[in-house]
Amino acid sequence: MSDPEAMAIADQPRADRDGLELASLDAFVRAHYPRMVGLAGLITRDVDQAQDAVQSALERAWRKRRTVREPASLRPWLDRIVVREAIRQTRSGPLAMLFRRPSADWADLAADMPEPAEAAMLREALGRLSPDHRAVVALHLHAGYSVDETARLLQVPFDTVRSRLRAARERLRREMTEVTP
Amino acid sequence: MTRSTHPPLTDERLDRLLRNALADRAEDVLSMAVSADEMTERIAMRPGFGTARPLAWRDAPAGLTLLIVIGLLLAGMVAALVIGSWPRPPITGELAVIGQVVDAVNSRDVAALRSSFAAEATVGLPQIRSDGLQESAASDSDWGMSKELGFVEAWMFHIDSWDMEAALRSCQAEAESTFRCDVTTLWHVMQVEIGEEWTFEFDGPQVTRLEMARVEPSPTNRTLPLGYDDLASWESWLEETHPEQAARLSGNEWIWPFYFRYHPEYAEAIGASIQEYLESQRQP
Repeated sequence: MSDPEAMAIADQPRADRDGLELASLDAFVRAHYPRMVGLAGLITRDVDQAQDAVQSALERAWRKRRTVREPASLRPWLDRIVVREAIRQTRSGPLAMLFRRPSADWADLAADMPEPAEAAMLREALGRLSPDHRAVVALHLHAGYSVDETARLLQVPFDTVRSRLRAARERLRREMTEVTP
Repeated sequence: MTRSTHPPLTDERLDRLLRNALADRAEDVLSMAVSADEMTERIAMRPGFGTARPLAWRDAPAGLTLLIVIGLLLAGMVAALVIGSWPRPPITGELAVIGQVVDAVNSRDVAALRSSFAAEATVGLPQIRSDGLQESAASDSDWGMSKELGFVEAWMFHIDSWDMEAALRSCQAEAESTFRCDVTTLWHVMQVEIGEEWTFEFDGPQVTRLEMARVEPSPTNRTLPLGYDDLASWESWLEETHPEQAARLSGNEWIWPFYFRYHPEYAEAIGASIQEYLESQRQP
């Protein structure tokens, strides 16, 4: 467990009926927000949506924090909530979009900075994956969860994760090796 | 026409490139997002976290939506009173469309459902808090009917998993093109019955907005044994009698967590468990 995560747990975590005892909302957010907003942004591709997803997830997690019994399960539990919330954000209807500030798509971030063409192509290709596929790729390749852990976190079958990963890799490889006419 | 990449784009190399790209993007998002302190402040100001706050454009889209809905409702009521058309008898043609919508829902006919809606129509699902109370009508579960979003299919899959049936009871014209209908929804797998209001807004012969609201989560005069509120009792019973199942079957997150917090993947197991629960309640 990293230091910030340890900070968020007040004493030695207790696996009793009360669940984890967390120090404060402030420490809780500081410990988990950076990781969660990065993860959410990989799925939403939009900073505002990522923030909304993380805010909603943190609120829900803080309210339910006593349901977490084991410290090791805190991070996957939070990531599960934020990933689901991020996917849901990408499916917001037109009404919700009316109240959203102009999108800051991750494909546009730092677009004026020079970078190798391959990285730029990969970034654009990643943005074209579906949110479900981006979630699997982000959890497995960015957050470091195994295929089995990703499946449990998303509550989908192991084979579904494996198949989404395979499909994502195939699509990315295809897009990166094809030259647009 | 293809170009070769050097070295070849093996899985390992692709994964390495992906990891780098994802890490860069995550850093970009973090650098553009609000700080952790500001996020803490936002959360601390939310209802239930101890500090009230005024509604703000940037921070409270749901509150803003609620205000706008209330404003629109008030404006609609004033307009209706001014033109003296509220209430007025329902229009046969629009009632027929409402009937088609309900029939399409019950027959899980996505094409028929879409044909009753305008291309940019939206649907608002009811949101029920964990204590069974209704969230604001201005929910964040709005979704569009446009084909590419795929939410119609997702919703159909959801209601089909629970074998939901909608029974249209009555409709009342609320304004020139708005109808409020009493609908009983029967979730047969869970043996749950819920009283809802479905409000249809029309533009000509097509529905532009369908808003569903749960007005009676647990109707007293119902045909199915359980109301929504009774699911909490079932969950308690499950935790007590089958703790190994409880975590899996109850309280699973779903794309509309407040709509029904149970995952349709477990519909069959949940139905069987509820049946066992009902039988246990019948025993002396």
